[in-house]
Amino acid sequence: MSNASPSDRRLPRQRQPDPRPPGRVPRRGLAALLITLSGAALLLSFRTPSELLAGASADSFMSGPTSADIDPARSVSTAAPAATAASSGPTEPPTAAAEPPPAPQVIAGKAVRTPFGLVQVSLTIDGSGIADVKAMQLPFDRSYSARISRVVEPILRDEALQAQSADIGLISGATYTSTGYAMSLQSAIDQAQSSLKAPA
Amino acid sequence: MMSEFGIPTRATGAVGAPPDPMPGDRVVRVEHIMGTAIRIELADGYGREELISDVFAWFREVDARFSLFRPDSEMSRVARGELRESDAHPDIREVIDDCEAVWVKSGGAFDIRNHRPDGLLDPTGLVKGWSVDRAGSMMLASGAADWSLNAGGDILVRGSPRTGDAWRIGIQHPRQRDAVAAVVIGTDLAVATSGNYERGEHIVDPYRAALSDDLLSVTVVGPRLALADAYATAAFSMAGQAAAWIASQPDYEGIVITASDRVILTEGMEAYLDR
Repeated sequence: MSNASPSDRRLPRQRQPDPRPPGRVPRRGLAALLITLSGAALLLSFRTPSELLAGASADSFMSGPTSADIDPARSVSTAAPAATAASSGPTEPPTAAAEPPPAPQVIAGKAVRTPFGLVQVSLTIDGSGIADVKAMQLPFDRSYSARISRVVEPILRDEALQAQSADIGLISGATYTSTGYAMSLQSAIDQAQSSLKAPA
Repeated sequence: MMSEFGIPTRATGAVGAPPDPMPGDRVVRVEHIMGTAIRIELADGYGREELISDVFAWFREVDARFSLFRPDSEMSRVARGELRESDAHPDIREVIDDCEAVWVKSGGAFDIRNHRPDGLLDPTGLVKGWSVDRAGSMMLASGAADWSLNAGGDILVRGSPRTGDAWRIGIQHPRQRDAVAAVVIGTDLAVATSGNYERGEHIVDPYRAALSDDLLSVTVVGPRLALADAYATAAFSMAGQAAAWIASQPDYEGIVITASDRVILTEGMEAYLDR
């Protein structure tokens, strides 16, 4: 079992974390973001315009400015329908984003048909960027909107729990997709528990 | 450890063929069936050898009936159109019915009819969990109250591993082979995980395959492993809609881990997590 040292908490990143504080996207990105927001209701983070347009997925400013600042249990408040450039092309940019006013303003995205039904979201914009994203119309059941607003989104722990120290006896994983991460770990735990029991 | 008769109890090895367990001995057995490792754990394995044997026999029966790697299996014959579903074994109809129900619930994301290159009907995404649910019913019917079943990382638990404890189920960390990303606790729970740890696609998303890379893994917990497993498979192909869709399924909760290292939990999931 390897151990992640405290100085090695974050996984290697493909680029440097964006230093902007969470929850804000610069105004120049609103048009692009609105387009993608109307594509589908998702739960992912906000991304910068260049990331959205390039389809990049390497990282996000949610990770914070430095690795040491990450609280793995932190919940962020923006559990919201968000962005993908999937089904709606950039040919119909919402005009509301052209002149964002200084006061908070709610902008409705266009309703988009997805394989699961119609999706429509709204943005609340204040002087510095997107303040909130809400689902107006979603394809799932009635409880969906209420529940989804309370989805929490911590960051994956990098100082990952070591299974044995956490007294875990079972591992759930997608073994048939891989070389058997989980069953390998399970067998290691079984062996460890067996050897612990043997001297009894 | 001493038994109540003052006789030292023998250590029961975790894997392989141990000596007969004494009362109170934990017993773990593993066999490779259905292309995966099936692990049975009993908190008290005393007098359960016949049950364990019956459960493994059940999984072999399922494999013989459902395997698409066996051209002569009933499922293969149904898939090729040689045997009508209505003429097949009731278990086959039951599994297909479950698959159709998930197909509807998932808006087509869980699709047993159109996801193989050869177009064959393939209920593999549900049959493993379904067979574990049945095995669990066998365990309960025999009077075993405290046990876990693990079929290739899809898990069903009942009761306690030790008196007063809940089962602790680690969720495989998608980036670190020897670590877990979260710990789920439960005394009566199914836990299934679908993932793409190595970027090797196994789920063909009928709608949006290109977006599947957005997720590293999806874990679903709930009462039935058949549905937890199928929901995890379906949600994994939904990319960014995964958590929302799981949240919309009554009695099931989920953990979605994204390629950007976010861990998205449905509202009710937090109650199952060891923090």
